[in-house]
Amino acid sequence: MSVVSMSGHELNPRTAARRTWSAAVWPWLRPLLWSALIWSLFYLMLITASFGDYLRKGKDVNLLRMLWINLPYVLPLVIFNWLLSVYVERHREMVESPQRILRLVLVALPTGFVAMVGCNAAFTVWRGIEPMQGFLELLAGRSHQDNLVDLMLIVGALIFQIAFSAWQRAQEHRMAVQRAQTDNLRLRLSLLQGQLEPHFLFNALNSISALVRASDRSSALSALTRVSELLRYALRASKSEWVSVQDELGFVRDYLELQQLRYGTNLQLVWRVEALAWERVACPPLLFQPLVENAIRHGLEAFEGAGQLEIVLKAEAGTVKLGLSNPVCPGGTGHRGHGLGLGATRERLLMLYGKEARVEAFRLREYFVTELTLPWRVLDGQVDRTDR
Amino acid sequence: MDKWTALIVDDEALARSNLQLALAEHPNWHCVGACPGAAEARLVLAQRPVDLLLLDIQMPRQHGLSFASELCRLAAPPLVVFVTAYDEHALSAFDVFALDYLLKPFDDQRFAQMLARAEQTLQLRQLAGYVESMGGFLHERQQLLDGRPRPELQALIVRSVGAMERIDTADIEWIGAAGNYVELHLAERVVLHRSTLSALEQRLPAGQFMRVHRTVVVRNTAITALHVTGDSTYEARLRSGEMVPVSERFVKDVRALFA
Repeated sequence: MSVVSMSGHELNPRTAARRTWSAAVWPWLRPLLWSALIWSLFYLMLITASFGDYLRKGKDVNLLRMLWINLPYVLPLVIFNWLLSVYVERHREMVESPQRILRLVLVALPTGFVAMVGCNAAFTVWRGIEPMQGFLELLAGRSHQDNLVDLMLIVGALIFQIAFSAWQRAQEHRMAVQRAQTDNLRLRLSLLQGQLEPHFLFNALNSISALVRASDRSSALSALTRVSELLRYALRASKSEWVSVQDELGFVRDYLELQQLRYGTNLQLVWRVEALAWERVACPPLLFQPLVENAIRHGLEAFEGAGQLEIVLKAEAGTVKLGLSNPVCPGGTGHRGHGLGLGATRERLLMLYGKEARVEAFRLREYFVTELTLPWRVLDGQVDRTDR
Repeated sequence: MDKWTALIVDDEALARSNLQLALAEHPNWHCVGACPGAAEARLVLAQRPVDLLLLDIQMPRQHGLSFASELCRLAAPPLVVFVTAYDEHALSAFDVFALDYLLKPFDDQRFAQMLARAEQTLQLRQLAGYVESMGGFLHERQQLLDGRPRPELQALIVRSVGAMERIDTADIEWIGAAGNYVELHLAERVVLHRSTLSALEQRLPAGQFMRVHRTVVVRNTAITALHVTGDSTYEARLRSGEMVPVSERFVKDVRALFA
């Protein structure tokens, strides 16, 4: 069985196995190494100081031997920090609020203390320094100072770990907020800039100027009204975060009316809008129109003769579905690639809905098809929603 | 006198009728047809010569500019005026090459101006200058499409009063900006050319000219001295004796010339 990596190439089983192993093991291994490193430094300092003391008193001691003998006493701390670190990493929310931290402390502190004291005693017995039955006596007989020191060590380890995790979490949070803000601003800007692509606007105005030259007053006046309505909506829309699907539909209707002015009978429209309360359904502003424009560009403009655009809007299993289809020249128009001009729309949908919304554009036999899926959201009239 | 003949090419019906109606106001012009695309226009041009072609750029089947390249290769090409909606890059390029264009939507005045210029060019048999302009523009566009660097201008076609003049870039001492126009300072005279300084600067032969101020581009070899006139204000003396301002941004480039 071959394993396919993210880039789509096939890996041989050995490389794949190695990769999965390291991906699974490393998150566990890294905290252990860090914990061991930090405690080793502390331990080294402590023993060296003790060594220095002994030397001063004139005792005959060997540093390495001291390090080796006392090693098991520092191991419980390493393990304690390691497990704590892994736990906090997996359950980041544990360091979020004071109550949670308190809970963590109340659980970890006694556990750590007991474990450490027990381990120390066990090692001492195992070493043969004290006989076996003396285990409990050993525990009971520990000096208060020793107990306090051990407690302080545990507390220190705990505080350090919590502080570090809290700091990490704050950093991540800050970066996420910044990123979201820049994304939002960038999209707002591109929205404003991409509005009603200038070509369309000037061509529409040119059509109106033709009507005026031909002394077709009524058509010219109604076309002028369409254009001003489009601009008004675009201005309003660029300021709000959400509009109603009904509003968006109205905008698309105005836009298509102007397009019909340019193309005349070359553009037939077929509307299939389900009779629902669309004025209560929320959607991002100016979402539909670029799709319609895209469909026209890839379908109609390259298609000779009478073109037809079918617009379907319906609700389906908690989602809103917009479908556009228009016939294209058989044999391709030379436009390649999927996506086809929907990059900005995709980004917006991703930012606002995550995975719940999607847009696709593709050729199906002799048709160019665009499909937009949105989750059904009720329009909240008062407040601009900023969370998902 | 025979009327001038014009052919309209635009994919949109209303745009065609717009131009036809506008042209109908000019008795010395005759519209031989209004074609929805390049293919139809080609047929008409094969049957009879046409003086002026009013050509839309954004057309579905064949792009206006590619059709214009075809026309340039004809023995007696018609004068082409591009009719286009706003497109910043195309317009600045048109200006540099002194090509005529009509922005959509246009009013009667602008249309009349365009026709008058066309008549001038045709009357004075200035078509050689026009062909060179158009050729230069299309060549540049092709280079850009092919992904090659923009070719340098060896000469500029400039419209002066009633004439199209060819000016070699080798004769230009310095260029001053004046809004949408530039003043080309030659050895003995100043010629006005409709283009922005930035658009022109990009096309000048590399290494010969340098920007010394927001409004001034000077030939390197024309600078003879640099004077300090005050706090961070500088002037350069040119070999013609003229003084041009130098802004702080570019002072070190000018200094580098003397180093």
